Amino acid sequence: MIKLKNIWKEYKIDKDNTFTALKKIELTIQKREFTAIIGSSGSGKSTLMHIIGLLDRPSQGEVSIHDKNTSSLDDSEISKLRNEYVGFVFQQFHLINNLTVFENIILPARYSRKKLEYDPKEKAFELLHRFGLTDKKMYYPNKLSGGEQQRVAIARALIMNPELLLADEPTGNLDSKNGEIILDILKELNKKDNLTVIVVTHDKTVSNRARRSIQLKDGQILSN
Amino acid sequence: MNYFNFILQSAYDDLRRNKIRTFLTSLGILIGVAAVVLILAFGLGLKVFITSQFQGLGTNLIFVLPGRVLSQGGGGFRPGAGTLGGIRFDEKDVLSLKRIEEIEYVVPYSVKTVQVQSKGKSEIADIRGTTEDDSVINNAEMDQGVFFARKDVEKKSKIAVLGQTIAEKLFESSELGLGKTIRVENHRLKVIGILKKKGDLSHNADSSIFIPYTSAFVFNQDKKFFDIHIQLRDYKEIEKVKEKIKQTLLKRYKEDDFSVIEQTEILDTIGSILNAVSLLLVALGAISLIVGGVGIMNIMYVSVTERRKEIGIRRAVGATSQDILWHFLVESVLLSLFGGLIGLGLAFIIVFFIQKFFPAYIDLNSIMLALGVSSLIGIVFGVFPAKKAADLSPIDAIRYE
Repeated sequence: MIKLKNIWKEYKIDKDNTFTALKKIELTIQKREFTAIIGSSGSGKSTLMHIIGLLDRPSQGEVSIHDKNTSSLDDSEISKLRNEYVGFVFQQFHLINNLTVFENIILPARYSRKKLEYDPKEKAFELLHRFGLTDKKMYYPNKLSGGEQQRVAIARALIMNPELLLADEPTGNLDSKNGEIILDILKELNKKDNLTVIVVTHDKTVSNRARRSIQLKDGQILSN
Repeated sequence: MNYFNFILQSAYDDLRRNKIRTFLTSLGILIGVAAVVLILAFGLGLKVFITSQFQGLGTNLIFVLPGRVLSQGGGGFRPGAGTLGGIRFDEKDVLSLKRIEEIEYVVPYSVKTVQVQSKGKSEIADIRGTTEDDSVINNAEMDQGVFFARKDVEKKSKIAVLGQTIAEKLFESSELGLGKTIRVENHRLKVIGILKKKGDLSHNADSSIFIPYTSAFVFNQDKKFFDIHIQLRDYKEIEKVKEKIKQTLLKRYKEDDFSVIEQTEILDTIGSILNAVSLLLVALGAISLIVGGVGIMNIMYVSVTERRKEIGIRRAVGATSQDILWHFLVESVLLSLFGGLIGLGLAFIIVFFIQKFFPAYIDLNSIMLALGVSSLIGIVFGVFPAKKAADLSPIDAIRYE
């Protein structure tokens, strides 16, 4: 489903120095896989996730989705793919604080140029119900607990019925109990909803729950 | 909710969330729009006022003046000004002009500025020698008494008709003047009529003294006239008649010695002077609009920086850079339009109160201009911040804390 070929990512630090975040990454992720990308901080795992999720572009190499090379796509085509194909869950939740829970969840549908086969409002209500947030739908995110915020973020990631769910340290800002709940949800989405899930983490207890784990060190894949 | 509503709603919500900032930012546009609309309203009011003043002068008039004026290369028309150069007309000209059949009235005027005395009071006034027809072509309305008649012209009667202002100056109040005697350069004139107020643009009529031109020859010994006013039977023939008048006068004078102009030309000249003045003032008002626009740009830049992370989140869930551009552009246009609308409202209120003292009008053009210009300012000064927001890389934006 996703194929990364010879991916390099370099950042310019100043005029003469560049920092290489990713080196020669080769990676294939199949549909319905539950994959963990593990590595210490600075290993390039977040950068890798951003590239897989089309938030960032590699300095070199090819990202293919369903055998389609994405490097020639322009901003609006990439944004469209990101909108329809990927759902993101971040460590800091990244909800918009001046939108209500409901408005946050439905936001991706507002940017969609595709005629949806379902009513996004109904879908949003369904997701609110599924994650136990129905009473909180008119709340603003800063009035919610971390666990609740992360569930809102997951609901937002699911509103467009994506194929791929990308979670960057999804439990990093949560206590272990709430962390467990989130991991259970991710597991369920993979099993029941047939989503492809990639979790980026430094936490072994998280990666242990994945079927496959990819270890990253200094921008290179150590083990796969 | 469709896409346009969504963008509009987002922009509106953001402005509402920062009410004080929104108001202060739009203040520059508010003041600028109010200033420009007010200037236009006064300009328009002044034009209406002047036009109405000129209408009191009589209609369908052609003026024959000495020298070159208006489009013929002169320095502009100055009603009542001294000799503009060129010739002075005489009774012979009046007679030959009367022979043109389309002409109904030919009214000559001699003008002299003199010292006028009545019991113990002395004033400066224009003494105008003319015919009884002056009262017809200028729609003279009497406050008291009568205008002089043809027989007074024939008999060189020592009588006078006073304008309202000079009558008030010479006598305690204008009612006391009727029947009294005034003295002009050792000649005594009896006041037989006092005119109603006409407005200061009608050849200074309110401060003038009208006497039969034959009697005026004692002040004006060369027996010449300063100008001649002509009224037609039918206004449609004006171009033809103007040409006939020129041909008639060319038999005696050179082309540069006189001018034949019509009332609308004077109105056009005054109109164009007013327009030029208005334009200058509007340009000054526009400076405030530019300053206001810069204020909007400044706040929009701040807003883009403040909301960097939000931009990143929106990009992550699928907003294109175009979407982000629209978000900020619509916001700055709304901001500017808001200022424009309040400014327009303010101008309406001011005009409402000022109308009691001075004619001022806000026409549809001013409204369209105000709203158009404020939208345009929103676009022009919003596009750079919006472009900055749109060009942020999603990943840098979302990482921003």
